[in-house]
Amino acid sequence: MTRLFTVLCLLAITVSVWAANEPAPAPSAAAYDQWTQSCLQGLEQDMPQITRSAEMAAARYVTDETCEIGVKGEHTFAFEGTYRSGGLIRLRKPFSDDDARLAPVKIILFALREDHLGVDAAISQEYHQAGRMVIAFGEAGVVQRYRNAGGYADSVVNTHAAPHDGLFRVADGGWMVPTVPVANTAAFWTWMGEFVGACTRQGKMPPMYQGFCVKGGFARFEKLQDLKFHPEPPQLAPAGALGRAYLQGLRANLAEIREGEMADIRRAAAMLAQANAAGHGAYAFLHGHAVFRENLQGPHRPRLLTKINDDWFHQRDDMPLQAGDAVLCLGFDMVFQGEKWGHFAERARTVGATPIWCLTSYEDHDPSTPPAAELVDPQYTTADIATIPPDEILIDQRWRVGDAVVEVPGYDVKILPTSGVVAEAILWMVTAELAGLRPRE
Amino acid sequence: MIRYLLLVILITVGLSAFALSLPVTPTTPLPAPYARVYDAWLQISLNDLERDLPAITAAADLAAARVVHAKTKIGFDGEAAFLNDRGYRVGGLLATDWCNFDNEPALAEIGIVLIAPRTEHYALDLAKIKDYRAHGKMVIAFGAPDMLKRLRKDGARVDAVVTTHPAPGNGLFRTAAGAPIVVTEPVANVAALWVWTGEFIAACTRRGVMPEIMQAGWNPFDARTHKPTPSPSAPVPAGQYGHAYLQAVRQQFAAVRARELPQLAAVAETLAAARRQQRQIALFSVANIPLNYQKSVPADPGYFTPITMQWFDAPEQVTLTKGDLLLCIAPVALYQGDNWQRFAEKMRERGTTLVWMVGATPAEELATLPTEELVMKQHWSLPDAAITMAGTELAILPTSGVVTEAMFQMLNAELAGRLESISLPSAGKGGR
Repeated sequence: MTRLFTVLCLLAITVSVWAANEPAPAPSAAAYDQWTQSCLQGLEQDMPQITRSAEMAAARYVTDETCEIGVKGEHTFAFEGTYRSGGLIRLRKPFSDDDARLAPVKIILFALREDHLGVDAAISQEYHQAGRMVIAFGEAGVVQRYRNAGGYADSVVNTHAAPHDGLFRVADGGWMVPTVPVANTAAFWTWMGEFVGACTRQGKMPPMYQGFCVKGGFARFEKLQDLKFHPEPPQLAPAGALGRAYLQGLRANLAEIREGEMADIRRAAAMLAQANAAGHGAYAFLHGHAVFRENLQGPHRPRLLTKINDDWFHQRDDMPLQAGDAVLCLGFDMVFQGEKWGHFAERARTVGATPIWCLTSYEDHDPSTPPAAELVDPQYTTADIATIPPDEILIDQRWRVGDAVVEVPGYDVKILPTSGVVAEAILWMVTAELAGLRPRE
Repeated sequence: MIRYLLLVILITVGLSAFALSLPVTPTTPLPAPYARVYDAWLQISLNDLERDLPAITAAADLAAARVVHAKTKIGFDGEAAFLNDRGYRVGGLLATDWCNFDNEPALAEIGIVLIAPRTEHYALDLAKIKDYRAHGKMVIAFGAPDMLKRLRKDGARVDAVVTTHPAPGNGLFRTAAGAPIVVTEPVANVAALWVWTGEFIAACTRRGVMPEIMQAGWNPFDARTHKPTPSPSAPVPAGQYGHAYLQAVRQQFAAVRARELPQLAAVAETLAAARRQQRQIALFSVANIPLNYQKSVPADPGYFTPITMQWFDAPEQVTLTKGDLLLCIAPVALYQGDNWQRFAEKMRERGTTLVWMVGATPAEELATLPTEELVMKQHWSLPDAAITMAGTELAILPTSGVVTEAMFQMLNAELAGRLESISLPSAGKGGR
């Protein structure tokens, strides 16, 4: 028995040493994409736990008519889900602990922050003492450290971020190119799908957004904004169905990018690297619910790109573009041109800077539905990707009009968007590729 | 040192005795006796703050030294009035933000944190202080002596402290059950905040720099609306701005004391009568200090139902009807007309009685109020600043936050005196 135990211990040690010595992948867009696939696979495997967590929340949300649901924590997670095409209309944004608007928020979806676990633990204890349900989202190791710090959770969703957040090992022993933004947003929408499904099984359908960029989306919102549930009883969605459908839709979106856009992702990184090497600026103009909050300076960010905007539509005045600069322009379906955007694209071209576009074109729109131009509302979007000159790079995000991929049986619109995950994934793929091109020190 | 301590004790005991000697029963011929006690506490608290000026200057010097070396934002955290009165204030610092852990990129831009820890969120605020320090931020803690001592005991290392002077247990009075009631911490914190800010600006001038000051007409989110902040003609000596700020607050309170107490008593009587008749009394306030937070503070009596939801948004659901009362705290504009979605008019149409606490509202606008609506005045005027910097036209350090918060609490004190059996706690040094 003792001998067997010793052998097992030796085996375990050997495996650990082997694992520890396994060479970390070299930074590249492909390696990042590969990790993304493994993350989604992990989420799919965890579907039973995700469903249970969502069912627990739905039971409270449905039975307690004063109960609202809100988000908290890591900034990508905290800003991705609110006011979002395909998302829950009543989802509450993060509120500070003295804000009166926090009072009805009795279910908190809480994305843990590896750098602030002591604070997260203290917040969770306050929520728990106030009778709130806490659903913690985080990578397994982070969740363990959170628990060790006294953190409370009614249930946990493993996001399958890389263990150190950063995917690639760097010379100083650190890890770079973050995975948390992608993992958190993917886990959030998967959970939300299961939450909606669980509500239907409780006999209720919560109102979900249709994007305002779709004709009729805003008018629909105005009708639904004060409702907690649709008055009509919904068709039941089986456990796991909506979460899996979301992951399937997301995988399909990412697969299109892998197959159709990877060459442009590499070209974009090369152009940004070239600008860097020549002493010009390598910038990013980030426009989107979660990605707008990214400053490219935090932990695990290799700081190879400089963010050039601090509001949604305008470039910073203190960072004027110059000839030779390159700017990754990451947004939704609008070119950053015209008055609304402070004529960003026009000014960039005039001074000899190069915009690199990362938007959705709607070009691969489902042929069974009307053309994209007939579906979008010109009051909310210009959808003018066709105006991009052919010599400028366009990384097509390849999500469809309405930005929602899951059909709920009997519901009038599709739900759950992919654009948030896709935008983050492309940003970090470009960054990974750029890091791989950086001259070795 | 012992002599100094004795002096402090004598002053404190003397002032406390003065406060205690004020009549606190409703039978007094003087109007607003409970508000007078609150006012007396405030004067003591401001005196204590003035005595602490050298320590406040030192804390401000420390922060100024860091700002001079590296451009950084000053972050605020903790007690709600302290947190909110600093923001987007004409005459206040521009490069400030609240410490939002849900927005890590914004949090990372903050290099100096001013925090006023809260008893009711103590574990969280302690964890935050440790987190700030672990992330290399300078931490300056604002709090009563007991709070600062407790933080030290629990291992919270801070770079400097500013001692504030609330009443023991936060509440100025005690209910029959011995519970503290009518909060003092918000007023004490906001006063300390602006004294520190004045000393910080002065400390920067002594280092040859001038921090950006928020000026009228600026959009804090759009640098294109900002013009360079003028510098004073000479470095400002230590203690000067802090002292001047305290003087300005004292003067405003002298005006409130001289002219508003009968009106404040009349408003309290009206509100108390409505409450005795089981009517709702509600609060609508679009000011920097979000007076609706106080439900979460144990010493707040909770007489008012806050109905303000967001700045400039009409409340989502107003349940007020005929016979209910609504206190409108209006710093500048009255909540009438299209700009306010006819809020006041709609309330009147419902039969709700409005009472007003107004700041720098122009007289001609005040004249539009129906004569039956009671009005209390806060006695500050635009540009809402204690100081005009020498050699410039730059007005800094607003007093309206302290005045608004204190007058609101004076009203709470009068209500508590009418609705409950309250008394002063046994005399003693403030702080918890």
